[in-house]
Amino acid sequence: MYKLHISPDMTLYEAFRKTALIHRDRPALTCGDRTLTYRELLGNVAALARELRERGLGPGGRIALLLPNSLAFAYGFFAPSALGAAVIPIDPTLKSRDLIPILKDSGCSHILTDQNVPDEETRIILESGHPSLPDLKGVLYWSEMKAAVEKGTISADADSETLFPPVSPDAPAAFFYTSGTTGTAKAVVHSHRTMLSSATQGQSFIKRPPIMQVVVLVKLAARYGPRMIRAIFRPPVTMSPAPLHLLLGYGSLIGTLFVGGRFVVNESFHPGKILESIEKERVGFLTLSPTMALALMKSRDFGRRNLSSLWILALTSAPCSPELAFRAERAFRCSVHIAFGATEIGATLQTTAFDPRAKKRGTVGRSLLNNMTRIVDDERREVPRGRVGELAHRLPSVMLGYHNAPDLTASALDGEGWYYTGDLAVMDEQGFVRIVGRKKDMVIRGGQNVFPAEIEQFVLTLDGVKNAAAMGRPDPVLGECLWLYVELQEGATMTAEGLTAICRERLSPAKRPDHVKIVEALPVTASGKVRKFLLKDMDIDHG
Amino acid sequence: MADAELSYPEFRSFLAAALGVAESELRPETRFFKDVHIDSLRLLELLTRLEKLLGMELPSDVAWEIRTVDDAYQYYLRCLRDRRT
Repeated sequence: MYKLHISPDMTLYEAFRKTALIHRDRPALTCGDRTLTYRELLGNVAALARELRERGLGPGGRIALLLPNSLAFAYGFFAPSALGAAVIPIDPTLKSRDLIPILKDSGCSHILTDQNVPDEETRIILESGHPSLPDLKGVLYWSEMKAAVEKGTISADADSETLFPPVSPDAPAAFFYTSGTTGTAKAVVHSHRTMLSSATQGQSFIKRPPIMQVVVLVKLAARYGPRMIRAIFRPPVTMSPAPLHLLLGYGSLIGTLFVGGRFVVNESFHPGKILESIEKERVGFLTLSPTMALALMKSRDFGRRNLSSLWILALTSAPCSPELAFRAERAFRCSVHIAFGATEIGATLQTTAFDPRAKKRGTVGRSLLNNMTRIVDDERREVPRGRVGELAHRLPSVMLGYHNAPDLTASALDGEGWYYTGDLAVMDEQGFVRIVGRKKDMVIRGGQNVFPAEIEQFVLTLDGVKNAAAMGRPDPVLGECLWLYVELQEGATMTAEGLTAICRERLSPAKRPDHVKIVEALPVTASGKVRKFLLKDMDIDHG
Repeated sequence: MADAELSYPEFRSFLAAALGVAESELRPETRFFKDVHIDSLRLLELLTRLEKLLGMELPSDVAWEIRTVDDAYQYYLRCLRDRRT
């Protein structure tokens, strides 16, 4: 049976180092044809930390990680914590319009990227120095550091502990940028303690008393056969083919490494290649967004690949319809869990192999820790079971706050440590939670959060635009897609196609509207605010 | 609808509407990712429209494999031929 050897009183690096020294020669990370053992991975992380230290990164520093899914991303995720610096994983597909404000807001001193990652315009800006980035000391290219880092000269298990300074577990460990309701990206700040709490609170099975573990094993064997028993006694082989800068990706990466499992890195998402990788690597625990699950099931290779190694499929990051959960359970022939979480707090709710199927298909599960989830009214008083209210959590994994945004932090966290999600939900007598809507104006497009305010603010800067409203509408593939409605100034000749082209050119992929419609007049309130609920009722050709 | 073959200009109109792109931007050699910055999620959505047009199920892999407008048109013609035979 695999065990957790870490505690939230460590730093990310200490926790990783301790796990690595215990598992030493076990495989830790696979990317393409390369598999690194824990010893090799630790050696490379420590070597990168030394390289970063030589380039001026130290306690209290911040480094942006602008890399696609790769081994380098994993090294770069853990190495800064050895130095007491925070890592800032950023979407490597961002255009300079979105990237520069993030780099500026973060106050990062270094960027770790690669020659082919930022587009040419961004690379020139970064290399020539940008007036809004006075803190930036260096842009480091992975291809120029790779040889030094991967030559493995460092004796990871002998001296890496004494190489680096002592760091408080409550110091900031990571900044995760997400879309913002106010139109600009905001950073969720986590400490080492909150990150490690997030990685450990989902391990509910191994926290059970031994007799309960035996009962669980017998039930698992009865329902899914002996492969379940074999799987649970071995460190898991896991895969999440999502971008690693997202919770869906890095959450799975660190959750796997801290239990001594092997994480399979996918450089990109292609349904056939992901299925091939599941078969080849004998993946047991697969985490997907509902859109990814749909794409895999519709792949021409789905029936041809041997997926019998799978024992858990976790569907998360976007609402999952009961129909999709049912279809996935039948297609993947393993236990399907629905999980719910947020960057601000990590994983919080989940269904398990033993929850009734109706609950698994219709809810997002129960709280991972008892009495740490509640539904509240507008005054933040708990409402009776069965009533709609805002979903709130109080867990050790709650973020420190939003960077440079005290008002926003105060609105999301209260003095007792509750985090208010902005999701509208109902909790039943058994504690199962069903999400019924959103209090904040947010769209989840293909698993990625997008705030319409960001798109609206951009469109309103364009000549000829009088007013704009972006909103999500149901979509069979993406879950929700983005619609943009635009009212033009008198005499303006802009077309929907022209607007679409501008958005494609200047907005990052996740924020580009899927549909643009020019309307004569947007319905507004007396104060000029667009009444979006009326837009939902407008007669629109959905194609 | 399923059996009526679209000419290239008609298919280009279908593609432009499905992707929210001006027809003038779509030439046979136009690359979805690099030239008109369409992501694979959007192409996955295009596929569902293509399924409706053809009246048949299509594998999701295609969304990651068709690189250009001409790829998409040739794929459409191939599906139509397969459907008829």
